Amino acid sequence: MRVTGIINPTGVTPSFVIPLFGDLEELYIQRTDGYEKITSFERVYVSNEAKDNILWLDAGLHGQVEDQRLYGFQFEKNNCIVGTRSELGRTLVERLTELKKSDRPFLLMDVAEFLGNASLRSSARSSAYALLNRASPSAATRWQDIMDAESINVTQPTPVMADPPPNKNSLSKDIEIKGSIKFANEFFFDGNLEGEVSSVDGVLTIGENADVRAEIKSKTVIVKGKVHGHITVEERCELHARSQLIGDLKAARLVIEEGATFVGKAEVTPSKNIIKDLGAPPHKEEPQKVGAPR
Amino acid sequence: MPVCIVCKPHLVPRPKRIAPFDTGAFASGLFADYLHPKMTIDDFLLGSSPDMPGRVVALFFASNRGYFSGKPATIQVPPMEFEASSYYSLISDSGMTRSDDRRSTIEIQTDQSVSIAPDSVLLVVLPRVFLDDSAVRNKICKDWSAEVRTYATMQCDPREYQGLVFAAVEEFLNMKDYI
Repeated sequence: MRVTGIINPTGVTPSFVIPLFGDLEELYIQRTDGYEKITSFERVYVSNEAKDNILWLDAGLHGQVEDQRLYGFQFEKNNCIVGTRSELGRTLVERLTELKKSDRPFLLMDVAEFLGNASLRSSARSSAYALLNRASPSAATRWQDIMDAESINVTQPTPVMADPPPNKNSLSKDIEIKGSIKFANEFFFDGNLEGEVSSVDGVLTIGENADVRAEIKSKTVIVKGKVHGHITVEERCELHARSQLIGDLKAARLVIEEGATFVGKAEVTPSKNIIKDLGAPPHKEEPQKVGAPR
Repeated sequence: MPVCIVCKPHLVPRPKRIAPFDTGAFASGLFADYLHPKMTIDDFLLGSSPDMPGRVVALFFASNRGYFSGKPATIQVPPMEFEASSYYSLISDSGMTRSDDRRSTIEIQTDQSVSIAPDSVLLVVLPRVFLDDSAVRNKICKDWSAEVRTYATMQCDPREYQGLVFAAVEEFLNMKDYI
């Protein structure tokens, strides 16, 4: 799908922006997984007034499902870049001096986290704290405490100068397995499975052709096919359009696309480490909130 | 990008109407699978008493935590109470995907302007970059004396921001023992 422009939800520049796909008549945004991949496109409706805030592009860029997701950054009104994480990272590094001059420490914190640049984040945070402190010392102190508590790990930077390594295991639709599978990193399964799948910190994708009758425990699970069994994820679970889950679900974050079938109970607990809680005694569960997309 | 303002109850003048759910979602037909087609929004309005939201929470969710997490209490609704029974079905179904948390969000409408007085705002959750604007910083932290929590905005999938806001508010409410 063609990248047709960007929309800047903050209304100011410089800023990270959201790439738009499609054409003038039908605009789409990308839906992505936790592993830098485009999983689908969703049509968005933009009013005529809001269309005035779109910067239309004709750069010949395209994105499609399974491609790396595309980020956008707008430097000035008519100056923006759209690209993969590594492509945008390179540009941001090149233009860092310019960004530092913008006197936008809170934006610089976002840029630093995007680049995985711990020293930049530290200096930007100090400047941001100073600005907040001028407005309200108590609010600034509290904000800093919360920043300290957040689990954003920038001491081990994400390598934005190179694309993610291909640590991806996969089993195609011709595979049929009875038993248990343990994996690390990323695992794409598109076959038939009866048993269990587990990973401490992995990303599991159940493909469109998959028919899985199993207990699933992982860090992140993306369901595009059929699953009959309970899913427990430490971080994020996505049920894509046309996917089917018959079983209970525990997750810190849950995304259900329109058209997905889900029969079971969902327990969404954003701040808990669910995997660690598995050893706790069983307790009666009641229906919980499902954080479906609006 | 979503911004969430948590304020003290007295901020809202006397309500004009109170509904147990998002009336816009109702009007869009998102609750149609649970409510009789002849039911209208008027059938669910709860009057204008300021204590009504608390009574709805106490009856259907048992606690503020239950309400915040959209987790209804286990109760027996008299079978002839059609509206209450339908509402309870609506908020109890864990499999529904179309109406999200709007089904259990109590809506308070007022026909008066709401002026935000100092000390009436407890928390503002907003995109971090908004604080680069001195007017925003001063309004929230200085004029309102509110706590501020922020989230990063480099994501290219806007769907992710809702979860960040939810987590920030939950942590705040936990810390303050509101839930």
